[in-house]
Amino acid sequence: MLDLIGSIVIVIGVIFVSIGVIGIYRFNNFYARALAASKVDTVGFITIILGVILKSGFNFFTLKVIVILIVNMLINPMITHSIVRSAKISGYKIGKE
Amino acid sequence: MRKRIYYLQLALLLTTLWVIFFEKISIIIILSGFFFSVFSIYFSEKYLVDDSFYTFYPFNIFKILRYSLFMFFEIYKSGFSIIPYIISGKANPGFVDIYTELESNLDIVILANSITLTPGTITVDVQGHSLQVLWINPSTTQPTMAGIKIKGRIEKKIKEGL
Repeated sequence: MLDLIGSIVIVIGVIFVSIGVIGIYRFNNFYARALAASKVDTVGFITIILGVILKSGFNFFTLKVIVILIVNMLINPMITHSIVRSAKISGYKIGKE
Repeated sequence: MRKRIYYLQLALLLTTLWVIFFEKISIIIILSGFFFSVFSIYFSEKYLVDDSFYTFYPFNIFKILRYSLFMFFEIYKSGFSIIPYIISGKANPGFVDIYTELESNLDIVILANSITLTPGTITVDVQGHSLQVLWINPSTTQPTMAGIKIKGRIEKKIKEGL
């Protein structure tokens, strides 16, 4: 039962990731693309990790996955921030490229 | 007393990490993990940081857990709210300046990273108390109104203590 719920949660996560990927191709502006891509690695990543946790039950593997989740949540905003900040400093304009 | 509890929780946190990486629970592993945690905290305070961790990162593990649960729901809420913009392909992102009332540097860093973590907003620049935020569809460019919409709940939560 838990296995099935985990699979469903992973599928939901993949749907979130695919919405982010659609966003990257749909927008034609750097900043909008960055905003759509940052959705992939927050919402999609958390949902997929939750699915993996549900599937594997409670053991040391789960704890390691939780450590990965925590480290990702700490590093992820810095990466997004540095990409967008460097784009702004190097003079990308808002609007069509 | 607060300081002693803080160092105890720091050591216990590192010991938990040690045990997780060993994938085995036994008395020897726990004791050696505790020894190495205390040693590494002492070493890094004496030679690397040159100051006590307590003045830099005064956190409380239970409040951190409460805050991450709150952030979890915030991420999903704004994650759902930007789906229409992506599906319709209509978004004109813009930069908005907002002001924060938080005092310490650690609080401002946590606020900026939380804003970046919620989908739809990215912090681009921080100068003193003013943050420059990239917003997917700015409904207002006025600093106070935009501030309430972007960071109102998060800032209140951080102000309650972390």
